[in-house]
Amino acid sequence: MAYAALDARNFARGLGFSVADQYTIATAVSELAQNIVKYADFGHLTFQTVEKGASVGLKVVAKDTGPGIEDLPNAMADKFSTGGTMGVGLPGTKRLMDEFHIDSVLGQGTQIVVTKWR
Amino acid sequence: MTLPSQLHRITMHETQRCLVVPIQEELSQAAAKSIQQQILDRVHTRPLVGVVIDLAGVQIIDSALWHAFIDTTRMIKVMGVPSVLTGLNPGAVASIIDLQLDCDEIETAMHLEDALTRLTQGARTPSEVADEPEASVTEADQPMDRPKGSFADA
Repeated sequence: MAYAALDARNFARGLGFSVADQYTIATAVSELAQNIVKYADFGHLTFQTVEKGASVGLKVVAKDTGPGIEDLPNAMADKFSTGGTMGVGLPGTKRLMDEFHIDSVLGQGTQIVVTKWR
Repeated sequence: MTLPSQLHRITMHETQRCLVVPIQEELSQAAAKSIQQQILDRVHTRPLVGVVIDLAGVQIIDSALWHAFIDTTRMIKVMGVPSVLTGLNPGAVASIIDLQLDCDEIETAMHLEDALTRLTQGARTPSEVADEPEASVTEADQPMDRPKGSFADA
């Protein structure tokens, strides 16, 4: 998880993000990586550069083949958790980033896509 | 995946009967656990009046790491020794607030000196303390302002 966060930081630095944004992205990636480790057996994180008009962004895709999220609205509510933690991961990650999309299919896995614009 | 940190050694200093623990790099959860153990060992064996954990070198604070630190301060407290976190930088604080992590029970100070003053004042004899109101600790020590334009709402 620490490696994923530092990779994200370096990727963001390469794209010219401010130092504060680099660490915000790294923190979000760390939360996403933790979710994969905690809830799913297998998953991966990918970082991509995205462009929209003149703006450049960093897109992170966190995909796992875990059990999926049963109650998505609840999982996105603050202080909800089935993993025995504080349950701040998903809504917190959403607040850290500019865009947040989540797809989850029971029994197949979860994909979370987040983007931060520079 | 965690960094190979089972043997994560840190240098700790003692000054004015306070243990000062400077953390200079990004930590994995395993490293935080290792540091927790080293601090608890010192609190157990040394006559300390306080512990200062200086997080100036830590930029990435996620929920797991924050809870590791909260747990550490709680354990130290149960052992009868107060602790103060110092050196939280604006980026880390913005993450802590965005993640809505619990910071009510944690004492913070901006600088090592402030933390030491607070801890050593608390260690005076009961009669001395009775003469004065307790040193007040406020959240105002934490820089709550976000860097301009850096943390747009999702």
